[in-house]
Amino acid sequence: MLDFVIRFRSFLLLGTLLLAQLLLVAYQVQTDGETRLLRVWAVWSVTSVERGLHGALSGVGGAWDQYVWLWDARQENESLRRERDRLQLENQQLQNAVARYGREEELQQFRQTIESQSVLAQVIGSSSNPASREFYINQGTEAGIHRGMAVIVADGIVGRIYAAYPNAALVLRIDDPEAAVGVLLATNRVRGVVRGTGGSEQRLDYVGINVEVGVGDTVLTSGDDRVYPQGLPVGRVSQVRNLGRERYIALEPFARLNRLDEVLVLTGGPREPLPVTPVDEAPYILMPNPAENPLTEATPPETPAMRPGGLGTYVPMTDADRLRRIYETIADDQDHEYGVTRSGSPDFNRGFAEADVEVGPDD
Amino acid sequence: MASYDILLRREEPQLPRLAELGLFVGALAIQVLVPYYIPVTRLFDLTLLALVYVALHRRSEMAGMFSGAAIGLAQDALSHDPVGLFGMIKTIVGFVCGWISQFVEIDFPGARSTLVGFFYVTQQIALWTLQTVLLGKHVEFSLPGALVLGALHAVLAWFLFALLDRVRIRP
Repeated sequence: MLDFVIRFRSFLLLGTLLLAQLLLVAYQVQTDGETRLLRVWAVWSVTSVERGLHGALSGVGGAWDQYVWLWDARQENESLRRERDRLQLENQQLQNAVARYGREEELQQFRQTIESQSVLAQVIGSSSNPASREFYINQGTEAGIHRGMAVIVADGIVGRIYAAYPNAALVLRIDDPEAAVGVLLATNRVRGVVRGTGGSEQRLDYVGINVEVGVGDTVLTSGDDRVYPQGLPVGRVSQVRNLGRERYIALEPFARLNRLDEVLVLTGGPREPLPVTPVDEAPYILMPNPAENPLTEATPPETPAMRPGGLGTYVPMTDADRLRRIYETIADDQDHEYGVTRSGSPDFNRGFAEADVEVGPDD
Repeated sequence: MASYDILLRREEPQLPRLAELGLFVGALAIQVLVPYYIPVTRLFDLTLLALVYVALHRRSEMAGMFSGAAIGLAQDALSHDPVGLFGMIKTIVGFVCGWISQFVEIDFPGARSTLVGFFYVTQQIALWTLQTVLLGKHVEFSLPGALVLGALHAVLAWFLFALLDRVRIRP
C-alpha cells in the first residue's frame, strides 16, 4: 500500500488537487452568497497595482506633456517661435482637458436628467478571462456600490455590477453571454429580453413571431428586471431573420462597449427596496339611505318622521326594520303575541291597514 | 539512469524562482491591463504561456501541477467565473507539461511552441466542457477558431520563450 502511494504519489496529488478544486467550484455554483474572501484579496492586490500603474502612467504622461516636451520646444526655438510652440502645446493640452472634461460634463449632465442616484467611475482594467466581457472600475463598496447595480453611459446601458470590492468593482457587460436585460420596443412597447452573445451584436428574444419588428427600431429598458430603470436606451435592431417558426433579431448596442472611459453606476432608484410605509387608507363612503317603500312614502327625506311622542328625530330604517314593523303590525291586528306557546302564528294573508304601521325607529 | 537525469538537470540553466514568480504575476497583470488599451490582446492567454515555460523547464510534474493550480486559481479570482475552473485546467496542463518535459528536448523551440499550441486548444476544449457540463452555461465554441488561436499562441511562444531563455542562469 505504501509502495503504491509512493509510486503514484504525483497522480494521487493531482487527483486530490483536482477534486478539491472541483468541490470548490461546486460549492460556489450552489450558493449565491457574498463575495469570497479569496477574490477580495486577489482583486484588492491586482487593482492596487492597476491603480498605481494608472496613476504612474498619468503622471509620466503629464510630466512629459508639461515639462519635457516644453523643454524641447525651448531648446528648438528662441523667441516668437518658442512662444508659439508653447501656446500650441498648451492649446493641445487644453483641448485634451476639454475633451476629457467634456466627457465627464456630458455624464454629469446626463446624471442630472436621470432620477436615480449615481456614482461616477473610471474604467481601470479588464478581466483576466479572455472569453468574458467584463471590466473593472475604480469605485467600490466604499462609494456605495454593490452587486447588481446598473452601469450606464449617456449613450445607453453598459452592464451591471457583478462583484463589488472596497475600492473597485467588476462590471459584467451586456454583451457577455451570461448577461440579460429586460427591454421593450420603443415603437409598439412589446417586451422582450436582450441576451449577450459574446460578439459585437446582442440577441433580442421572447418577441412574438407576429410582432412587427423592423431594422432600425429602438430598444429601451423595460425595468422588469429591477436592475435598469425603465426607458434607458439599449440599442437598435440591426437584423431580423425569420427561421421558420422562430425569429432571430440582432441588436446593435448604443454604448461603445469596447471603448469606455467613464461610466455611471446607478446606486439608487428602481433597485431600492419596496416602501414599507403604508399608503393612506381609502376614504369611508357613506351609502345613501335605504330605498323608500310604500309604507314610508310619507317619510323623509322630504318630511322627516318623528318618533312617537315627538321627542326624537328621524332615523333611517332599513328594509329589515320595515319588515319587522310590518310583522308587528299584523300581529297587533290579530292580537297575536310572538313567542308564546300554543299561540300559533298570525295570518299574514289578511293584510293590514297601512295607517297602522308606525314609521320610525323602534324603541 | 535516474541519478544521471538528475545530474543533467542540475547542469541545465534554470529560471530563478523569483523570476518565475515575477513571470506569473506579470502575465496576469498584463492580461488584465493591456486588453483595456488594445482589445485584440484579449485573445491571448499569457498565463498559459508562462505556465508551459515554467513547467517544462522545471522538468517535474509536481512543480508543474502546483504552478498550474496557483496561476489558474489566481486567474479565476480575477474573473467572474467560479474559482477553480481555470485552476483545474491549468493544474492538468502543468502536470502534463512537467511530465512530458522528461521525455522531450525542451530547448528545441519548435517542440515548445507546438506544445503551447496543443495545450491552448486543449484548454479551450476543457473550458467549454466544464462550462457546459458543470455550470450548465450555453457557451459557443469554434474548433477552427481555437486552432487558429492555438497557432498564434505557438508563434508568440516562439519569440517569448527565446527572450525568457536569456534570463535563465546556470546553477
